[in-house]
Parts: sequence; C-alpha cells; structure tokens
Amino acid sequence: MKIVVCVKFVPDIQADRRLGQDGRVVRDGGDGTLNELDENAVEAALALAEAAGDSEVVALTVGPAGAEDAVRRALQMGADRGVQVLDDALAGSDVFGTVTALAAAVRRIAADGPVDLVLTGMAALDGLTSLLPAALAAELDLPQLTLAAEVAVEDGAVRIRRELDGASETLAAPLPALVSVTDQANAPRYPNFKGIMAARKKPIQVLALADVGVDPAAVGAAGARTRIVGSSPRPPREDRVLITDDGTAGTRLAQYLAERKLV
Amino acid sequence: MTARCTPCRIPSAGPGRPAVLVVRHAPDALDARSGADPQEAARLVTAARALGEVHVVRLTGAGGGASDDAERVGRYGARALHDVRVGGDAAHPRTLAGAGAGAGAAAVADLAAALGVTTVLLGARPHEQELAALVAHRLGAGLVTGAERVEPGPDARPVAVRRSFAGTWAARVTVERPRAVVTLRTGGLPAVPVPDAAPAPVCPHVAGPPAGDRGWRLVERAEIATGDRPPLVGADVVVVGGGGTGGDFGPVDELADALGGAVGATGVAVAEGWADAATLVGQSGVTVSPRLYVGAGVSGAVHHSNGVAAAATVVAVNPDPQAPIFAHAHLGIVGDLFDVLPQAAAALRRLRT
Repeated sequence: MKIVVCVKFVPDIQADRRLGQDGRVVRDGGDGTLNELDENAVEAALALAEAAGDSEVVALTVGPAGAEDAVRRALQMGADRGVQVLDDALAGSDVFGTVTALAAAVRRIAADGPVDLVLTGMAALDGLTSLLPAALAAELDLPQLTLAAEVAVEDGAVRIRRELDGASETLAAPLPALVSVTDQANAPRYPNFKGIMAARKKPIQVLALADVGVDPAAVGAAGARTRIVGSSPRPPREDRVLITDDGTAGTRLAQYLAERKLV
Repeated sequence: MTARCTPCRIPSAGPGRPAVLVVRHAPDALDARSGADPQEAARLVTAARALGEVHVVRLTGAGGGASDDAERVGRYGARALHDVRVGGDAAHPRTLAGAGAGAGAAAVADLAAALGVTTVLLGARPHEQELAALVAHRLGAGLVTGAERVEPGPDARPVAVRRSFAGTWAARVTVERPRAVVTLRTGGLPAVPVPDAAPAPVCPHVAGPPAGDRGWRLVERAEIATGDRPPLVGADVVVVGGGGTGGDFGPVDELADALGGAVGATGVAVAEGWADAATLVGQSGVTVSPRLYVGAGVSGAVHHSNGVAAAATVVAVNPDPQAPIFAHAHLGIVGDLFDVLPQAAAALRRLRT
C-alpha cells in the first residue's frame, strides 16, 4: 500500500502571532514545528502501513524552506521518504492554491506507482483551514472520509468512525481515498534515537512548481481567491467583569444572566 | 435580463440587488432534535438580507433534511425556498452523509450559477464546512470560513469578518472571484423578522444521481443519547466542564439543567475519561456558537478557545486568576466551581418559580 501523508510546518502554537500589513501571518519568535495535528496523520499512516505490510509512506509538504523540518519530523517518526514542493511563487497561497500544489504533487508521486491513500490532519493550527481535506479530495476526485477518530483498511477499502453532531458515524470507501484524522485517532509516537539517525539517510525530494506542472499564476498571492483588506487585534473586552468569589458569586452570576435575558 | 429559477421561474433578484443563496444542510435527525436549528436558519437569512435578495436552498436526503419551512424562512424575508431532493443512500435515507454530500454540492453549485448569485452562505458546522469547500471548488469561488459576520462590500460581493488566533485578531476578507462562499458562526447574530412577511414560494428540484459515486457510503449512524438535555450542536446555552472538575460533572450538569443548556467537556476532561468524546468542545470536537457559554474549571487552552470564540456571551469560573479563559470572558469569576455553580443553579431555579 502506498500512502501519502500531508504535513505542514507551523510556528509553535504558544508563540505570539499576528497578521501583517499584507494580511499574512507573521510569526514572532518561537520555534517552528510539525503541525501537531499532522502528527496524528503521520501516526495513522505508519500504523496502517505496518498493519498492511509491504507499504510505503511518503510525507508531502508544500511550503517555504523551513517546511523541510515538518517532513524531517515525519521521517524521524518512520515515514520512508519526503517530498517538498518549494517555489517562491507559492508565497501567500490560500487553501485552493495549496490544494492545487498538493494535488499536483500527489499525481507526480502516483506516476511511479498508484497512491492508495492520502492522509491529512484535521486542520492546520495556525490558519485553521480545516477545509483543506475536503478541497483536496475534490481536486483529486477521491472519496473523502473526514474527521476520523478511528481508521482501518481492509480488503481494498478504508473505513472510519467519526463523532460529530451528536452522532457516531461509520463511513467506508474503496481505495483510493482521502482520510483526515483528528487528534482523537491515536497517540503519535515520539521519534527514538534510532529513528532520528535513520531519518538522516532518508531522501527528501524537492520539486518546483514547474516539476509538478502547476502554473505559478494559479497559486500564491497571484492566485489567491480571497484577500485580507484589513486586520486589527481585537481590543480586550471593555465590558469585561472580573470578580473574586466572596461567597455570593453564584448568586451574582444568576443575576448577571437574568439582567442580560440569558435565562 | 433577470436570471430566473428554471423550474419555478421566480426571478433571482430585483434590479440593482444581487441574489444570495442560503444553504441549509443537516441530517434531519439532528434538526428534529434541535429546537435551535430553525433559529439558525432565521439568523442566516437575516444576515443574508443585508447582502441582497435571499433564496434558501433546503437539501433533503431521501428521507428528509433540514426542516426549515416556507412560512419560517418567509418571515425573515426569503424570496424563495428551493427544495432540493438528493438521491442519498438507500440504506440510510435519513442522512446526506456519504456520496449524498457530493451530489448536494453539485446541486447547490448549479442553482447558484442558474440564479446568478454573488454569495452563498452556510452555517459553520463540520457538515456545512465540507459542503462549503465542495461548492466553492465547483464554482471556483472565494471561500471564507467561520466568519462572525458579513457586510455588503463596495460591489455586489460581501466583506466577511473573521477572527484568527483564538479570537485575538479580527480580519476583514474580500473575495477575488465573481462569487463568494461564506460559512457563518451564527450564535451571536440576530434573527429579525421582516414586516408584511409572506410564506416563501417553494420550488421543488431533483438533484441528479450522485456523480463520481465509487461506493463512498455511510455504514452506520448512531445518535448519541443526551437525555433530556439539548444536543451540543446548535444549543443556545452550553456549560463546559474542564480539568478543574476533577471528574465530578455534577455541578456542571446541575447548572446546565437550570439553564436548559447542553453539557460539553474540554480535551482534558475527555482524555481523563470523565466525559464522552462526543461532548468535546473545541478545535478537535464540536465548534459551538451559543448565546451563552459557561466554562467551569476550564483553563482556556487555545484548542478549546478556538471552538468557543463565536459565543455571544462568555462566563468563566476558575480558581486561577491568570487562567487564559478570563481573556475571553465577559464575566470572569475567580472561585471554586463547586461553590459557585450550585449557588448559581439554585438562584436560577428560584428565578424560574
């Protein structure tokens, strides 16, 4: 089985973030890392590959030079090889630009043997674009099974369980398919010393947009379908009330809600 | 020439007013249980009115769908209700999950093109986010998700306002394509009826069989019992218990019942096994946009705050005055939830009687 797992490099979620003049995310300080939700996708890919045997896990990223670190982390966890789409024209891509580049790279990876499964995390913690899995599946014309809390492959079909909207759903699709997993799906393994050493010898193929047949005008800021025209830090709540319980806070809470017609 | 709906010949909009599509998409089982959901339709239609003439699309599977009726959406100013029946899954006719979502997206995109709409508006639940991505992909439209409000832009297209970084930043977003698809968190938005409202004319459509159906299907769907409490999704009031409960959700349940609200849990509470995974509120679980959110013993980690940023009023009870949740709170109470919540519940019960 051949599995492509999409990973993204994001700043440390606890570091300060802001939106710059051009509407892009500016990261101040803090180390970058593999998007922590993508670690669940890598873990799911590795577990499925181990269960199936005779499998290959390819870690794929679209992003700037530092994004290689996200792929390296996936390789340390146990992925077999990495692919990075790296091109200056990608800067400022929205979700559809990113999807265009990812889909082209998946097709390129499929050129030397069909891809059975595309795995993603549930969202990128920086931009929160949880749409990426759905849009990527549409672009690749694959069945999409999203927000999986459990995933298994059997007899050429993938089956997931997800919990949302007050219901537990089991969905299934024949391979090839796209699956996004949540952080409930598994506990990602921590790379051990052997894994870290082995990752140094694993290849990361760097591809430009031209290598995957994508028009630079279709991605990046040039191809973005949305534009941020203004941004501002939200002021702290002016109407904020902070009280310390003196034994009557519960009653005051009830009064507060009653005054605002919330009861 | 004015665009018209093909089956019913209803004009899409009047002169100088763009047409706007509001999409209602929900498994009917959810809608039937959630009294708050029709209210969401009212909020969406009210928001859409500011942008143009409103057409509501009701996607229904073989056995039903979103339960908005013509009288209700008409009261809020919808020009027409387009009832789109999607083939759905024969074994599970009561849901649009599986291949039905793809067929639904195709039907919505076709109708949007036929009516010449500039904006497609949806709610922001997981089903709707996925549908929005599929519709935007088909229309080549700009997509803004989880917006807190929409405003008319300088041309017929909207400006969406959304929050980033756990609600600490607000960004104004425009689209660079002829059409916009926007998912809206409706919890803090008003529902305002129009004067002299009439029921919206209903126009039936039948969507073609799911294209590209390669066996993507729903195998099983089991509702998770919430007892007498409303389900989390669509709830007007949500009381969430976190690590500070130490596993005792008694006070959380008690306050939720006094408020007629739903009970949720943080990642910590779910990881400790104190609460069912289906009650997880936050980025990994359910995103809520209630009128009132109460966080009890919740620190306010960014994964959780992202899921509650759209709540209209936030109340937090935590013994740590430095807890990040207080930055989001309208009312912050530094105290012990085991003292504060039962006292508040008792006072609320007295108010009721």
